[in-house]
Amino acid sequence: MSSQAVRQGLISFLPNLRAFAIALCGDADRADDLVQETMLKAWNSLDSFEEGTNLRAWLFTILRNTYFSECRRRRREVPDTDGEYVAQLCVAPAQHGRVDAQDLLKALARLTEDQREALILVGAEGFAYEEAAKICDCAVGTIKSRVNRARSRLSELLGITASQDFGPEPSTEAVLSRASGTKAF
Amino acid sequence: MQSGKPSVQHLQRFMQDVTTAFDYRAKMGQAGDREEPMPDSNGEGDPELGGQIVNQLRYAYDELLDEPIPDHLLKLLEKLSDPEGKS
Repeated sequence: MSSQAVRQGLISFLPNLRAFAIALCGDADRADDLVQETMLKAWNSLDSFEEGTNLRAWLFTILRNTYFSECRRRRREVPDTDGEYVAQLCVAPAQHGRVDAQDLLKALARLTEDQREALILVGAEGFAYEEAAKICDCAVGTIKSRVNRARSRLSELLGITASQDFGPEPSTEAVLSRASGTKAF
Repeated sequence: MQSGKPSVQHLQRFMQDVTTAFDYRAKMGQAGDREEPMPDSNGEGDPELGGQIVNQLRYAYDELLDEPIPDHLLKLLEKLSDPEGKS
């Protein structure tokens, strides 16, 4: 693949790589380091990219492998730092409103790493299960199961237990209903 | 030594590259439209609720996607694609 094509790919997928990195590690500075390392690795491994395959998936694979290598190294150097950090995080319920990026990051930080990456790849980035399985180097069924568990856990963490939780607040609903001439209960 | 600020020509070239890159994504079918349907529930939980959660996830994730890319990453990209920067 020509370096120009990879350059175009890197430019177009840079926001996605950065968002994925932030969602994975929960820290913008660390995410930028991850993206930088990913760019360098991709550039230095152009020969290993098979033309005609999915450049986006290839870049995401490099990023997640870099992230997990770094996690393993960190755990060896400073045991349980991530655990302590996660324990301090408190997730605010997202009832009657939309989840913003900060709520999301807090909630994602409390998922297991496997669940987190599966949910982001499939749920947020829109990768097919098969693509996500290749990126994570695991079976398709494993990805499906991780996504399901992550989704359930996320709903608990964000305090979302029913579809109605996303509707307007009861007081707002009452006003709206009154305006339209219907009763609200 | 180059000055810290990118020249007008550099910025014009970069914007042209960004436009080309978006065309490239569209051509490659990788525009990130996320048309992939909601993950199936495998019979677990409430599918409607699952869909709502993923919608919320995407809404929040879009905020991350909209964040500006730090200059140093853009400069690195520029440096890498410079033929003399390959080494």
